[in-house]
Amino acid sequence: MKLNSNLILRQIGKEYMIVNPFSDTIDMAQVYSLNDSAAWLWKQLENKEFTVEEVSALLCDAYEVTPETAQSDASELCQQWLEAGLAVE
Amino acid sequence: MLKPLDTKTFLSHAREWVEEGKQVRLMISGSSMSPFLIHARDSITFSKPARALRKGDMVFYQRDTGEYVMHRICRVEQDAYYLIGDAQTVVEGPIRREQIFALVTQALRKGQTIAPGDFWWEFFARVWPNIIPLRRAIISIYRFFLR
Repeated sequence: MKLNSNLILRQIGKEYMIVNPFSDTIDMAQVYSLNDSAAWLWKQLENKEFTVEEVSALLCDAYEVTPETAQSDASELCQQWLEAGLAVE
Repeated sequence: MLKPLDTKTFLSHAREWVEEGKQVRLMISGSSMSPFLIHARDSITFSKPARALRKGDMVFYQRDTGEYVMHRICRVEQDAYYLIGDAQTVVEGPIRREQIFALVTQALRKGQTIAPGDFWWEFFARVWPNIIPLRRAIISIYRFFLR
């Protein structure tokens, strides 16, 4: 899968949010906030193809988590991003 | 890890987007604009005002306390705007022009888009601001028949 190339990560103050800068209309239902770790992942995954396993490996390297936790977090995150249209197959 | 923005956070950025020339769409939260717009059922689209603001316009403004509010203009004096929610009977103001940053241009009400020219839009823009003292009575009659 890869990130939806129409979307950008914006940092405003301490917050990260995903918006579509090309759209004339910004719909609150389609604007998401990301926590620090999700935002960090977003930056690592920009402009490339990736798999759940690669996301899991990134989490393992960057945070002190067990491979099982990383795998489960990565899987949940990819699922959410796909459902919300933040990532595409 | 992924969560929708809360309305307050969203609105603090909406002003910036409006300034950039974008339209912003937002679900109604709160009951101050009922019976025209209902909490969590209806949504509105707003953008930077492209004309002079007038009585009957629904506008977004920021109070000096920082809160963002969308209400309707019921009176305009020189650079002083007086606002009221459609459900309310007490007028707020004066609000300065620079506090107002967006004009509501259309609404999605009961699943239907309504805009200037539509019956209910015009009714709430033209009639409703003129009958503030009668609102309570009308709303209670309306609720009575809705039961």
